[in-house]
Parts: sequence; structure tokens; C-alpha cells
Amino acid sequence: MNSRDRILQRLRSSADAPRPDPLQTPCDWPLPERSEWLALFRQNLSDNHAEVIECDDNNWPELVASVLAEKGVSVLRSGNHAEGRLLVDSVSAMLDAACITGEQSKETLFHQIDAGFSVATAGLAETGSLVIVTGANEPRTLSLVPPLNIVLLRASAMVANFSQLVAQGRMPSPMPTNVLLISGPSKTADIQQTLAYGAHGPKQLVVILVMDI
Amino acid sequence: MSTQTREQMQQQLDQEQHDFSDMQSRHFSVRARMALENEALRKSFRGASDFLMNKRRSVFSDDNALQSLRDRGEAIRQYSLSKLPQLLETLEKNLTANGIQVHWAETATEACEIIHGILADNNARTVVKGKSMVTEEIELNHYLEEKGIECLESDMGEYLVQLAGETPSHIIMPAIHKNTAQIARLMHGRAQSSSGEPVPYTEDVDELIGNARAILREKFEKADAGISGVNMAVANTGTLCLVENEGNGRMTTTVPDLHIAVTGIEKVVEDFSHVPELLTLLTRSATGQKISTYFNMISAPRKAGELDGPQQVHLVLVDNGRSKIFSHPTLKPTLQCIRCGACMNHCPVYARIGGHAYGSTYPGPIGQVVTPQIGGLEKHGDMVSACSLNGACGEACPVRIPLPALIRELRHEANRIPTRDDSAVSGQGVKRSASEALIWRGWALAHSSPWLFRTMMWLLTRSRPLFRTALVTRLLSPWTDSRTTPLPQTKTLHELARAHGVASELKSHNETGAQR
Amino acid sequence: MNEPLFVDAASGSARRQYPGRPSAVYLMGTCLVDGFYADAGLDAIRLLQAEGLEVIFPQSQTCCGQPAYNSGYDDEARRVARQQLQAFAADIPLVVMMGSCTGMMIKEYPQLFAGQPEEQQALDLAARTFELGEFLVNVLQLHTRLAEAQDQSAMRLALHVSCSSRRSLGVAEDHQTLMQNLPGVHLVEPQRASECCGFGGTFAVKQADISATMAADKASAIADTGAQRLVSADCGCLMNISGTMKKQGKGIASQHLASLLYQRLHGQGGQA
Repeated sequence: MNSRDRILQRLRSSADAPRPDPLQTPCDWPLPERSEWLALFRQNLSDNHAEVIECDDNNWPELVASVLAEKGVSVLRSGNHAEGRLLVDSVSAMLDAACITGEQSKETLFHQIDAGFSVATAGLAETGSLVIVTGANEPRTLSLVPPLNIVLLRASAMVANFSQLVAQGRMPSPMPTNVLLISGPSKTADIQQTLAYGAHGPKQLVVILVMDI
Repeated sequence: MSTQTREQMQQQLDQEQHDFSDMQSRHFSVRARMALENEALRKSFRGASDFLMNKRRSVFSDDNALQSLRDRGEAIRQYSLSKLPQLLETLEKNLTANGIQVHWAETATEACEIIHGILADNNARTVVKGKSMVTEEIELNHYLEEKGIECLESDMGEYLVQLAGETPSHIIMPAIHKNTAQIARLMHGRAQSSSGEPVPYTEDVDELIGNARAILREKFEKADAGISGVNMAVANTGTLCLVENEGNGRMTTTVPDLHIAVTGIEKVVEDFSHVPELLTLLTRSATGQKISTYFNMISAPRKAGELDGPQQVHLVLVDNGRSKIFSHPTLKPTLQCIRCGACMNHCPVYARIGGHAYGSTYPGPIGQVVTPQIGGLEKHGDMVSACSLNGACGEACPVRIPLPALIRELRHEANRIPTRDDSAVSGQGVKRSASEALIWRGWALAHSSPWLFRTMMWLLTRSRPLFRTALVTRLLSPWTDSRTTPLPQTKTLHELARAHGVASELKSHNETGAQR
Repeated sequence: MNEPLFVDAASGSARRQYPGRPSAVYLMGTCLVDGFYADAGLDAIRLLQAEGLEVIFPQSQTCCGQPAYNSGYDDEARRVARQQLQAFAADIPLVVMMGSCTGMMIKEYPQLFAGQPEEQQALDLAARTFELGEFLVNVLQLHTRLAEAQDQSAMRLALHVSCSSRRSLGVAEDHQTLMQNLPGVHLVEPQRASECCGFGGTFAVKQADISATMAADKASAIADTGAQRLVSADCGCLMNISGTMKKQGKGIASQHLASLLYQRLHGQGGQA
């Protein structure tokens, strides 16, 4: 017998009778009211040091452009989605380089990109979280390595919290390579409980909240 | 600015590292005393405990909601454990289907060998590590370094602790025992940029983090492999979930071409519907956050067409004593733990002696329960007495592990006559001494005989004058080292009750107690 | 009496059901009270008698067995516990003068006797066992009649609730209610009031250094409130904290809750 079989055999020999479905255990954790979702989402993100900019379906590229200008971004990379292509088109004139991410070296990724642009598929009001489903068109490192991460979220994609997202079957199925919940810029409190932002990931997170409802 | 030169700081750091290993080689009671005598250390832990308890309270303002969430959390963990063997097989099947390679390790050594084997197969020489308590438990860094593999901790706290040549003193905040000034000295004295330059001295936390960030980013970029822990593994989808704030966990699992995740076998849950409540319990209980900055769900290595992510992902499932804990009739709830650290944040003993005094990977109440079961009561039997059974840990535990009852049970295991059952904790009976057993037997005799008890208490009260003497004070040491000698009263309550005509028995036994 | 056993105080579930006012109760002094706080035991008896209850103090009672149990000596604990099952056999409420002993009898006896011939007896006893403060408030509603207290002199008072009373039994509020409703008493709250004082039975001996540090911190926190008196319904904590305070030269008198109540209500007894 190998280790696997020995471990499983030991577990099987002392397994209890199966317990009832744990979701039958009542859980009165309050769900935020729908009317409060947007305010709560914004509040949570700003508590976590992220900026939230409200805009509409027409003016968001302009607003992102002004964010890029204000933060002195000269090199932007985006995932390959409609929003990213629209953004690249509208800001490429003003930046040194703005394009859809393709194959790139780690050297480029770590040293030459100022900002990454991603699109969230859902937002969680209770925690101020962005759900990002990565894949061929939404690289994992775009929301991780560049010092500035800009994430677009449509207000219509908001849900109460993670439980509701899962309960409503809105997690992707089958699960893609990597799904992320992002709730602020990277941070640490490992030095005497003092919060510092920009630990290893982005130092800044800007959420473009498209008010489509 | 510090008045010390860098050389002086380095000398001090060497001394501190020496003191640390010296302390770790001592007996529990010595380590505890050393910690109690260290003012700076006690201040760090008191401050951190107060801070973390307040933070937790702030995100659990509604007690009914909290208790209800704990009920659910407990139910999920108990359900998962009740199906553990099936869930592990399902997990393996789905991970494998997703392209993640699964390995099983019975012991710490086997886990290290497996991990080294994977690294060697891929010619990996440099490794960055995300925070992982199980790799601390199996002492992976030490093993890999002996094989010539550079293994760098990338969680800020873990990085600092590694730089200092120490081990974590808390499972969530590894460098909790150090204050900013100590970390400033550490960074200036020991950290180096890739060109070998020392980092400038600073006590500014943002600058300190910035300096560490710069050093570690370079390591992420160049590392051959990343090794991480796992907070939850979802069987039905074959997904590894990681909770973190810093982004180092994502770096570790995304940037290098090879990712090895390591987890204890108990971390598996059946379905994604079991994840959200555990996640919210974990982050709220650990650091008082509604959610961590990142919740990272990994289900596969890089697929065709994807631009980043590791080419290979491995999961090493570590038993290292867990299947034995699983077989123990009363200690099994140990495995419900989700490693949030709330029990240590709320433990008044931990707040005073800190994590290193326990001399184990897992300190505090959960450490007192896990460590003797993994490492044996022979080596770790002393720590189970370092608990006043005040219950603060059990009250804070998000999944309702009855920690005080488990600590008491381990005292029983340590003191009982060995049963030689398969499920017996290693070192069962090791603390049983003939003299102590005799004392308790005598105690039981005196307290199960009313006549003997009354006589004993009569003698106690009649010896009241003796309690004013130095001899009794000395006999009652260590109690009297920091307290005055307790003084018996002149008569026992048994005597007073009788003298005041208080009945010893109910007159009519058919009388019901309550008027309903 | 077939009330359900206590649910964990921290579970947020409903509190236990309380019986109506009985005509007779058992009092368990506990071993510590018997030798070191007998006056407080007598005050508790008088307090209950003044409430019109017949108090039964079985001369065959000894100790709940907790010292052995918490040290891991289950057989020895069971032997002593069995004696209490016999001493308090009649179906009347049992009022216990210490929270930790109450917790032992309510929570641990059923475990200790699980599968033993005395299991049902242990369950029955657990269901009719009450901590003193809990009983005074929930069964006798004493807190509603404290306005008539004879001694209403001003007093700055610190209350220490034992960890067993607070966490295992969930009766901390009852103790607080009693003190807050005493005319003239100004109740002050020490910093980290809910933290353990470091007693913990054999813990104080086996881990003497840690225990002493915890006790010193507790004593300082109480002294910092400027309290004139420390009150607790747990003699273990009381002995630990007051012994530490005296050693430190802090002149704060300490007293069992029963003594304070009897003294203020009836103007006598209650030695501080």
C-alpha cells in the first residue's frame, strides 16, 4: 500500500456517520438590502483605500483617461475584451503605450507597465469585492503586478455578498484556471499592526463603476 | 534615526538570533519565564492582542448574527470531516481532471521529499514561498536549504522572521513579537538589494514595506517555483482557495512556472456553497476584516491561449498525524480548525508569553491542542498545563472548537494510565508520576468521605495560627511568592451551618421543590 | 425538573428555563468556602433564609471534583462527584457558591457519568443546579427588591466575574444587575474586565509565573479604578486577586458577593 491508500484507509476506519447538510443549519447572517448595495460597496472599497468613480456607459473611457493622466500613467495594458479595446482606442493617443496584453516577458511585466485594466464580472456589496474571472482574455497578472490596477464593474452586476453569488449559481462553471475576489489595493499590517498599502501587488486600485441601472 | 552603526546593529541582531535559538532549546517553563521577563516582548503581544480583539469585535457587532454564523461554520466543518475520506478522493479526481497533480504524504519527511522531488525534476533552484503554516510544520525551508535550494519567504512578516533567523510567533501575524524599531534595525542590518547594497535605515513603516517590496519583487520575477499553502480545497470543483492581503500569495501562485501548494488533509470542503461562510468567519475572526484583499481560487495550471500562470500546479496533501487525530473519540474537533488565530488573540496566557514560548509551529490554544497530537506528549506535554481554562479561546473560535475541553482532555491523556489504543495520543501517560497519582488518589479518598473531609477541614481551620508563620508561607510557595498567605477561617462552613441550626437533610422527601 | 441543559452561553441561543420560587433549596458551599470563606457561606445561607427559603446544607457535601478533573484525573474526579450526587439527591434546586463548581456540575458531570449507572442522576442534578447570583436574579428576582437595602452608604465597587460564570454559565449580567441595583453602590469597570485573573486552579501552581503575572495585571487594573472594595462570587479568583493586591500593598478590601448583599440588605454580617 502506498501513502495515499494508508491515509485513506485510516480515515475510513474511523469515519463517523455522515452529518446533515450544513446548509440546513440556520444562518441568520443579515444580507444587506438591495437599496443599500451601491452605497455599501463604495464605502467598503473606500475604507480599504480604493477609489471608486461613478460614470455611465458613454463617458467612462474619458474618465479613465483623466485618471491615467492624473496618475501620470504612460504605459497601460488591458485584457482583450470589448471594454479594453474601447479604452485602448480612446487613450492610445495620449499615452506612450496603451495596448491589449499579448505575450510579454516578466521583465516587461514587472518593470515597464504602469497600469493594468481589468473587467469585473460581479461586485459584492457586503465586502466591497470585485469578482474577476481570469483567462486568455483577462490575464491574472494584470490585476497584480502593475502598481495601478483599474477595474471596471457594471452596477447591474452587483450582488449582496459572496454567499448570494454562489447560491444564485453565478460562479463560473466549470471553474476557469483562476477566479479572484479583489477588495482593495494590496496591503500589510505585519509591522506592528500599522497598515501599509502596496505590499506586493498594486499600490492603488481604482474602480470604474458604470451606473447602468 | 538610530544612534547605532550598521555593524552595531548586526552584532545586536546576531545576539538576538543567538538568544532566540538558546530560548528554543530550553524547557517550556524557562521559555515562559524568559518571555515574561522581556518587557518589550510583552508590550508587543499585549498591544497586538488588544488591537486584534477590538478589530474582531468591530466586524461582529451583532452578537446573534455572529452566533448564527458560528453555528453554520461549525456545521460545515463537521460535515466536511464526516465525509473526509470521500471528499479527499473527489478532490483528487477533480484536481487531476483539471490538470493539477496530487501527491500524498504520510509524514513531514515524506512531504519534504515529494516537494524536493518536484523541484528537482524541474531543475528549480530558487523558490518563493507564500505564507503556509503546514510548510513551517514540516520544516520545509530547512530541508530544501540543505539540498541547496534557496527558499525565500515572501509574506512580509514571514520574510522579516526569516531575515532574523527566527520562526513565526503567530500563525497570522508572524512578526507580531517585533516592534517597528526592531524591524528597522533588522532591515538595515540584514536586508540587501540584488546588487548587495544594504537598505537605508528607516523607522517609517511605508518605507520599510517599500524596501522589502523592492527586494521581493525581484525574487518573484526570477524565482523558478512558488510554494504556497491552501486555506480551503473545494472537492466538487477541484479548486484551491487562498486568503491573503499582500499579493505575495498571488505572486507565488501566478508568476513562477511551477506552483506547489501544500495543505493538511483536513482543509477540504465539499462544495463552493460551503466556502463563503467559512471565508467570512476566517477573515473577520483573524484580523477583523470583512474580507481579505484577495481571495484567490485556483483550479488549473495555465491553459492553452492563456498568457500567464504556472505551467505546472501540484498539490501535496499532508497527513503528519492528522488521520490519527481523526480517529480519536474526543479530540477529533481539533481538525475543524480553519487557522484564523482568534484563539491566540483572545488567550490571556498567549498575550503574556507570546508565541515562541510554546516552542512549536502552532502557538496559543490551538497550538496546545494540535502540537502534542502531532509531535507527541513526550515532547510537548508541558504546554497543556499552560492554560487557566478560562474559555476565552472557545468563545472566540469561529467554528466552535471546544478548545478548553480539548486541552483538558489532553491533560487527561498525559496523566492517565496508558491504554495502548491505536487512537491514543503519542506519549499517553507520560506526565503520570507515581507521586502525583498518589496525591490525587489521596485527595479523592478525603473528598469522597464526608467524615474525612470534615475532619480535614476542621484541622485546616484549627491550624489557622500556623498560616501566619513563615513556614507555611514557604510551604505554599509558589502561590505565596506573589500573594499573601491565605488565612483559613476559625470554623468551617459545615460547623457554622450546624451551629446555626441549618438542616442537613430535607425533612419530607415527597415535598416538591418548586411551587408551580 | 426537566429543563434542557444549559446551552453554551456564547451560542446566543435562548437562556435556560427557570423554575418558580421553591420552598427549599440545597446550598453547596464548596471546599474553598468551607475552609477559607465560611462567613460568606453563612451569609449566603442567611440571605436565602431571609428570602423565606428553607436552606438545606448537607453535612455530607465535600467538593465538586473539579481540581482533579481539570488536572486530567478523571477517575478521581468521578469518585468525588459521586459523593455530591448522593449529598444533593432530593429533587430541589441546588444553589452553588462558586461559578466554576457550578459549571463543573452542570456541564461536566453529565460527561463524566456518560454511560455510567449514575448518568440520569447527573443529568437531573445538572438541570436543577444554579450559580448563586444566577439563582438570586432569575429565580428569586432579588434585584427588583434591592431598593429597600438597609445600608445605602456610598461605595465605589469593582466586580470580578469568574470566567466560568461569564463564559461557561453566561451569568455575568446577573452579577452586574445585582450590583448595579444596590443603592449607594457605584460600580466601576476595570480595564479588560472579562480577562481571566490567572487563578485556574492547579494552573496557579503548575504555571506559577504566568499565573502571577496575570494576577498582577488584574490587581493593577482593579486598583486603577479607585475602587474601595472588590466583590466576586468566586472565591478562587477572590483569593488570587486579593492575595496579590495585599502583597502589592494595595489596600482594597475584598468580599464575596453573598456577604456584600447580606450586609447591605440587612445591615449585618458580611465581613469584608
